[in-house]
Amino acid sequence: MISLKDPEAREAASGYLKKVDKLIRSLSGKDQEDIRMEITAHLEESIQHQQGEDELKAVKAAIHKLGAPEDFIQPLVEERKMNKASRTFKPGHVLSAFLAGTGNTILNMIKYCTLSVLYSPVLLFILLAIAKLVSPQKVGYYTNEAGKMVFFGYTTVTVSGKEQLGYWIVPVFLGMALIIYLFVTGMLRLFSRLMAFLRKCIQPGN
Amino acid sequence: MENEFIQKWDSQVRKGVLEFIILLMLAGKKRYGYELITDLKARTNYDIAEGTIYPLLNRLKSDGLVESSWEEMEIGIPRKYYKLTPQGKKTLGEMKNYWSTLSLNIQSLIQK
Repeated sequence: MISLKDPEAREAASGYLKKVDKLIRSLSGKDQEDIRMEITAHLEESIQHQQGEDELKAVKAAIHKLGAPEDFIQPLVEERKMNKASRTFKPGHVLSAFLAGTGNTILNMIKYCTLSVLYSPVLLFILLAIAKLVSPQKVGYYTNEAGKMVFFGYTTVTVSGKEQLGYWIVPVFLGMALIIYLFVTGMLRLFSRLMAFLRKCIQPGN
Repeated sequence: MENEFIQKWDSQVRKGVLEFIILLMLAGKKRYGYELITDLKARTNYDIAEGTIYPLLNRLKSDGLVESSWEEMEIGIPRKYYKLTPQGKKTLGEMKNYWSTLSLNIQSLIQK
């Protein structure tokens, strides 16, 4: 923490760092600490270099020179989220990168709804796998005498035809859930990268 | 109108070469954020907020051109130093060649 004697100066510096903390709170603990330490070190050195100023004036001058946290912390947060998303298939990281860069609540709602729709088949196949274990006679892959598929999934009525896979349909359902999950997540990563690229093109200075 | 055009053009040119300037300033010497931005502003007349150095450095790091490390200070908060990676040095060399060629081409057009 920056050591200042003037309580108003301490308040001003602390207020600025709280704004930084608020902007970085969606990052991992390690990234938060990394950014916070760097900004604090910058602020401390800048305050020390405001020669001849009282502490409060020095803090205000240093804060003014550093700039509004919203202007430079947000691009930093987006970049870090994008880096993490590009190294992992974890949905949390991809989701975080996908949602980064917007404070628009309506846009976030649209994104959440879109994500729900895209990932719903994953949930569906997982539920089908569970349903097979719970009610095996209601789930299956049925074919007619000619070997043509007549039904695939969950049913509450009797299906004509013969069930072919038995409990092997469970790994089939789980495999399909995994394939869809990887495909949707991969597409989201690509989309997030594309959006980040387009944002850079629009604001090259950032 | 012309002034406004020049201002916009000047802004675009400065934005375009800022990463090149930062890599040049890191050539041969590791530096930390505050040191880099204050030196940059003193040597050029870039009028930018000091905080903008950090997303730039982070992007250069993501691109593999710089690496960073924290160093404890005898007094005060530790500093995060940045230096060029081997890829960064190679890229800087290419950028310098590109800049030399571009400068020559533009100069020849000016002299026509």
